[in-house]
Amino acid sequence: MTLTLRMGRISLPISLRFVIAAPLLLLALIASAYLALGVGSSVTAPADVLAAILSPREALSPGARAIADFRLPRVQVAIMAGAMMAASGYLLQVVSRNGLADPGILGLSDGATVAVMLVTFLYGPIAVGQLGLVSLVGAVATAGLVLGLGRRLLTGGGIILVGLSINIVLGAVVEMILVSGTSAQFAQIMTWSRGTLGTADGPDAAMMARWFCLLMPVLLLGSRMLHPLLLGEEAAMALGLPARAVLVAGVLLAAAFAAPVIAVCGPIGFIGLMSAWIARGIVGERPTEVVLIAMPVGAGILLWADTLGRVLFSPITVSAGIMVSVVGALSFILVARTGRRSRASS
Amino acid sequence: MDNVSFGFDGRAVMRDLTLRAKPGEFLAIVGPNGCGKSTALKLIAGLHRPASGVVRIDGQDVAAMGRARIARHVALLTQASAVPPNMTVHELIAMGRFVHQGFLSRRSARDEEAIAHAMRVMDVTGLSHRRVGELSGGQLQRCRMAMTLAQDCGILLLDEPTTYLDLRYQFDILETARAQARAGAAVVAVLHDFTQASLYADRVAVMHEGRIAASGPASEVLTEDVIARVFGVRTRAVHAHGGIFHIPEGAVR
Repeated sequence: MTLTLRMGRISLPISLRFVIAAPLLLLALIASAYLALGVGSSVTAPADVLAAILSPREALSPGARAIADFRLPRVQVAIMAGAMMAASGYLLQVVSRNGLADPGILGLSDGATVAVMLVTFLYGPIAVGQLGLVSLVGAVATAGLVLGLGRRLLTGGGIILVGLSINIVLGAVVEMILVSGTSAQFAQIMTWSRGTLGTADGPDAAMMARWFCLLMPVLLLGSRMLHPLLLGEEAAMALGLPARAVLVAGVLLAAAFAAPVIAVCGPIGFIGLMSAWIARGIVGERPTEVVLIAMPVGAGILLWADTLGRVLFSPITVSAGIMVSVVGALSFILVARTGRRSRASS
Repeated sequence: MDNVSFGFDGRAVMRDLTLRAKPGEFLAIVGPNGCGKSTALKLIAGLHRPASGVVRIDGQDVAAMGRARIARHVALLTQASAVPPNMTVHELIAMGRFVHQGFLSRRSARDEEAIAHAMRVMDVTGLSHRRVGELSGGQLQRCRMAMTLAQDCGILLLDEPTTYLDLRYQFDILETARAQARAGAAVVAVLHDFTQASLYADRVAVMHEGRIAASGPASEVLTEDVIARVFGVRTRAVHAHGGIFHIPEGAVR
């Protein structure tokens, strides 16, 4: 069922499913965030959570101040990181025409990881703002490499193979850097390279918010262009789309969405993959709607993974990257099973 | 297109091909596999750039036109392309309107009209809310054809529109193509079936190794001689009910 908004020369088709799902998902995300702010190793009163969000820091009780200083940026980062990985994953799935694409699988995450590691290794710790840029350079360079090598295979499954091989090489580089570091660095980089929100703080959240605000308009303006690509490059060109340019722009945008996430949290796999799948299941195939649903879904997944990782085995913290992988693997088995059943029944 | 040559990786696919399609005319291209029929259509639609020669639409060089401008003049029904199974029929057909839409004007009254019209012509209105994955091959092809019609272009290029379809759907698609030509469009279709070409096309071009081997009315072009020379098969041509039927008798030794 599709509704069409009309106002003068403006006309936008919106599916009924989107109209229903989008606000529900946002509400669920807000509720989850509120919950996540309230739980943790130190018990806090529900009133503290509201105070931590609404009141200036100076006026806060110690409990509320702890929430504002530690949990709030962590929750903010989880939401933005999840949403951005979801956008990145969906973009890559459209441009590669492969439902398995994701910044992790195409090697973008590893490229960014290697870049960040190399710079940290050579120059010591640097400010998070610069780290985001370093990460972007790594992701874009890898994207360029994957695109360059997989150019002739751009629309087929070939690009996944190229991405995977580069992924493996870069993974080896990551290990090499890890074993050649000092023990203090090793522990820190090790945790980060598995994907964690444990170190997320205020400046991290601010850096990600800047990227988010910069990239969202580009995504919203450009998402219409993704639509014809769903039929393949030649069909898209026949429909009037400069397909090559849009493909390259799509990959660059995907790299830009993933870069700040990797700079702060390390490579978190599966989110892009999962949220795009879920979003397509909810709203179908219209790219603008899919990506706008995938983003809160991705945010929710990462937020829950991080919060459960913090709380479940307390005082031990399981890093969000590992939690997402576990949840991701389980949900994939489920998807594969239900997928087979529905096919068998039809 | 005039004296167009084109090749992939140094292998020539097209050699000095000259082909003209006129408004109001249904031109069928036939020829053996790999002779460059599809490539010819893609060159007209600007999907490939000719290595030499010029492709013109209404006198304008296609190489100098942007993708959107070409797509307002030329609609191309590609050979079977994968359509995401979750997409609805209406969404698929609406994609034909892409080039007519803007950022804020994504479904104008004119778009809606063109979509509804294309659906009526291809008799797929009843499938509107179905998902593409649930359709039969014939239904999907009719929907893809409707998408191409919704693009609302004066030049219609159809790449093997009837391959893999059963008789009824082949008939529907060719009837529609001819009706479009009668309404003033220039229709160029790659066909495999000589009988279809002779029944529906105003003119037939036989392609062979990147060149036009023969071109003209079906009765002059689809002869036993031409078929033997181009396809390497001896046939007996039978003229009946306004069509030409080729009965194969054996390979040319």
